[in-house]
Formats: sequence, C-alpha cells, structure tokens
Amino acid sequence: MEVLVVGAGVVGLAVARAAALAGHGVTIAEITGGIANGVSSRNSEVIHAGLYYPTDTLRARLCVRGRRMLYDFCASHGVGHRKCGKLVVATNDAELAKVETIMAQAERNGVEGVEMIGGNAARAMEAELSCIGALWSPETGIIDSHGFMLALWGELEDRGGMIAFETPVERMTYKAPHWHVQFGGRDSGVMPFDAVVNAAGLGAQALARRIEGYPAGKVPRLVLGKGNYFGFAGRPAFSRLIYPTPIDGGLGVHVTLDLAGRMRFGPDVEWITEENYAVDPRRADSFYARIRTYWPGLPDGSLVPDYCGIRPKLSGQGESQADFMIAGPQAHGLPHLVNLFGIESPGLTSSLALAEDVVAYLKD
Amino acid sequence: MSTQAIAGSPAPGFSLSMRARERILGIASPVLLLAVWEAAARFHFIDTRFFPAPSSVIAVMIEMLRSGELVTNTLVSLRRLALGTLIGGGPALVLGIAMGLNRWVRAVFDPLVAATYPIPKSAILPLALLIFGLGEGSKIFMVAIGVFFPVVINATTGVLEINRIYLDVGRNYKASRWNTFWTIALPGALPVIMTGFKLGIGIGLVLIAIAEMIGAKSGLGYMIWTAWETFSVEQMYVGLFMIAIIGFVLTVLLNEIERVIVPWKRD
Repeated sequence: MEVLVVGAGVVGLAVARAAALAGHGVTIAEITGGIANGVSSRNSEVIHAGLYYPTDTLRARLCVRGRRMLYDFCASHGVGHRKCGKLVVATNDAELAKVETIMAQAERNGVEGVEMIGGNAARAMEAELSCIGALWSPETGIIDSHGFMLALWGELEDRGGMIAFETPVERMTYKAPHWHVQFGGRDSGVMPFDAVVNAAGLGAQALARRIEGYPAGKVPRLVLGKGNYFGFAGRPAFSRLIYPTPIDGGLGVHVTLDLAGRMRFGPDVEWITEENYAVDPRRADSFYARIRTYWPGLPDGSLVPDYCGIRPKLSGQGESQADFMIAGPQAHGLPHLVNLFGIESPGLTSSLALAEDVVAYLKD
Repeated sequence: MSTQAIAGSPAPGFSLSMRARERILGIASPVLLLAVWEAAARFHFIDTRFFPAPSSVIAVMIEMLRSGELVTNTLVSLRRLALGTLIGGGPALVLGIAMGLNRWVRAVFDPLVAATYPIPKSAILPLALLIFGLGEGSKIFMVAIGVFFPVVINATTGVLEINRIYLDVGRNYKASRWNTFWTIALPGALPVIMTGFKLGIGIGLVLIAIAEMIGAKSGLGYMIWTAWETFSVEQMYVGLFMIAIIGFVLTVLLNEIERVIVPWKRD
C-alpha cells in the first residue's frame, strides 16, 4: 500500500524505512528543508540500555529491543558509535537505596550485564569520581545520530521511498478506501494514501487536530520539557557516561560524551510554553553545584552554553512520567492511521523497534 | 576449534593481501587491454585505419610532445578548465550555501535552478558563441556553466544536511552571518560540496572538449577535430588519451585535496 509518514525525524525515518522494507510505497512529508531538524538532532545521542522504565511499559520494551537492533544496525551500516558504558552514581545512603531500586528495575527489564559496584571500584574506572557506590551498565553507548538518520534515509531511497521537504500537511480526510491529504507549501495539492503515520514530534498533536473526524478527546496535551546542555571547555575528565541518581522530572544533569571525545553536561529540565532554542548562560550556575556532588574537581568558569532540545512530553512538572503513546485504529476509530505522541527519551534508542510495531499496525 | 577462528574476523594479513590483489588487478586490466589491442592490430584482426595499434599512437604522441603541439593544446584546455571552474564554482558555492541557510533565498532561486538545470549544457554552446564570441570567453563560460549546477545543488544539500545543533550553537553565541557561513555552513557542507566539484569538473571536461571542436584554434578538442578533418587517426587517439589522463589525474588530485581540507571525513 501507499504509506505517508509525516515528519522526517528519527522516528519518521525509521518507520518509513521499515515500511519500505516491508514492501510498501513510502513518502515522507517534512515541513522543514532537511531531515532531523527538530527533536531528533537536539539530544544526548545516547544509546540507552533501558534501566529506569517501569516493567511492561512501551518505553521499557522498545528501549531494550530497540537498543539491540540499533547496535546491529550500526555495525552493519557503518554508523559511528561507541559502547562506552555508563555509571549511575550514588553520593549518600538515600541515593544508594534509590540506585539499588534502579538496579532491580533494570534486571526486570532484561538489561544485560548490569551490576552494583562499590565506590572504590567506581573510582578505579573513573578516577575523578566521588561516590559511595554505583550501578554499572556496560550496554549503554553513544551514537552519531545524524549518521544514523542519513543511513535510514539512504536505505529508504534505495527501496524507492522519498522525502518531500518543505511540505506541511494542512488537512486529512478519510474517504474509503483512501486518506485524502491536503499538502501546503510551494507544491500544494491533494493526494490519496492508503495509510498515514503521524511522526511529527512536537507537531504531532497539532497535526492530529487537523485530521477530520479525529476525536478531540483522544489528542493528549503536549508539555514542552526543554533541556539545556553546557559544554566543558577542557580535556574530558571521564571516558564513560556518568549519571547522578535521578531526580523528579528527569535523569539529572549528567556527563555525556560525543564521538569526538568532547564532554558536556545536561540536560536539565526547564518547563516552557513556546518553542525556542536559546540557552540562557545563567542556567550554568545551578549546573556547578549539581555536578560537583559527583565531580568535586569541576573548575570554576569551565562550563559554556552549548545547545538545547525540547522533549515532547505528555506529563508535566510533579507528575509521574507518561509512557510513549502509539494511537492506532483501536484507540481512535479511524482506519489505517497511527499517531505517535510523546516520543521523547528513549525515542532515538527505541526508533527501530518502534518502527517495527508501527508497520505491524498498518496491516489492520 | 580452528573453524571458529576462520569464521571470525579475517586476519589482518589476509585483508592486506586482498588489497594488494585489488591493486594489481587495477593495474593489470588496462595493461592487458592494451596488449590485446596491440596484438589484434598487428595480426589485422581489427581495422587499423580506425583502431591503430597503441604502439603507433604512442609514437605519434612522442612526436607531438617533441614539437610542443600537445603540451600547448593541453595547457590551453587546462587553463580554460581552471578559469571556468573558478568562475562557475565560486558564485555557485556562495549561492548554494546561502540557499541552504536561508529559506527565502531558497524560495527565490530553487525554481530557477530546477528549471535551468535539465537543459543540456552542450545545447547552450551556440548561445555562448553568440554572446561571448569565438574567443576564450565562450569556452570558459561553457566550463563555468557545467561546474555551476552540481556545486550549487550540492552546497545547498550539504548545508541542509548539517546537524541542526551546530547551527543552534552558532545562534546561541550570536554568531554573525559571516561567522555562520565561514565556521559552520562551509565546513559542515564541505564533504558534499567536494562531491559537487568532482562532478562539475567532470562535466566541465566534457564541455571543454565539445566547445573547442567548434570555433576554436587551440585546445585538445580542437586537436581532435583537426585530426578528424585531416584523417590523422593516431592524433585523434592522442587527444582522447590526453583527456582520459587529465580526468584521471584530476580525480586523484581532488581526492587528495579532499583528504587535506576535510580530514574528518572517513571512507
């Protein structure tokens, strides 16, 4: 069948590639002029092991399965990545108890190789670290996410799929047996498709509201959780990812590394109401105190504003973390339509597994 | 036991000898072709009026080198190629990057590029002769137009494919337009831009040969054309060989330039 995917982020590209591999004709409609211009390019580029997420949630299942698929994909397609491992560190007894519950959750989620290690063992791995104990996750890694998305795009085009850039979707109406999609932009017009996948990231809710007959009550609210990153001006102090014990609302300000070996810190959580990508340099102040709990050696004045991203969250401040939402025909009553809401972290890691599930939905 | 080791990753020695074998094959195949050609000509399996033996072509080549005719014509063609690349590639680079960075510039020029790109460049030659006359201008213009399109298209694509966060960081530091162009867009798009130049210079080489056949008094294209007029088939082959050699040397040269100015790009 002819499938339209809206959004050329990592999820849209992965879904489009999977649909093309399954033999469907695939078009991606992307509102900007390039791939990955939204959520997908503004994150930590971490391949998550799947430690934290509650059992039987989509995030737990898709992250663990997606991570295995992602490592295989990187190996077979020559995408830059490094399985550097990650330490979740505890700096006092209360935190240690919390890290132990994460350890138990990780084991329930089927994450391979996780173990609790003492403070000395952690310092033997990372000499600059200050902690009384830590969870060691050898399966966590980092990835050249842009390279990954270029590889997905390449494979999509190899299979005859294509991306239409600067092509916003203005309206969608279902008249059996087709979805009639009204495109805006320079080449505006109406085209029929057999199935539609909404992978518009931050724009997913707005798109769902433009679908004729889509129940308004089934569109979840969108909460913008901005995360700011600060770069470290100097030689990196660590060679593995270092995460503090999670705080409410996020994973805490952690050490991330890119494939060039540069070290940066973030993301924090800043609740915003409108999309903007400026980093306020004053936010560095709160970073110093938080980072020094596990890295006392952080020199003054070493943090420089880097970039920021916006998490398309479904839950707000003080609420329990919402799961990914895959809204298929059973959820909203319209045939051959899948809406993807709230695909934030670990969306990059989960993308390949999520894509498989979405393509399975299209058969209905 | 040992089958396990064989099934695993190949030993480094094995992969090295593979590479060596590839290199030997790469040299051996043209040599073999020339040998077969030579033999076929000597034993009159092929018509030597159309396919003269490589040895006789080489003899004519040495003769032409000695008289200076070949060197002069080659240098004239190379000069036109270089000037055309500069004149076509420079503006294409600036316009392509501007189109990648700014959607309004893209909205203005994208339809123009899309509409003019498919016109066969060789079909523009009469127009170029009309505007620029029989002199150097028309030849250089033809190369420039050939280089312009692949570079402008690749520069735009290259900038649009730059990882978004690099541009975000530039904006966070209030980078000026010039800084954004010079330190983010240009280096970010450079791998793709280099591909554009490689394609463009290849097209330029084709176009310079065509342009020199009509209304020129020097250059490799002119040399091939006069060889046809005087039925000096060997001389014609010398011209063709020379163009092939220039193409090969330029590819190697551009790959080396790419290695130096885009050191972060790995194969």
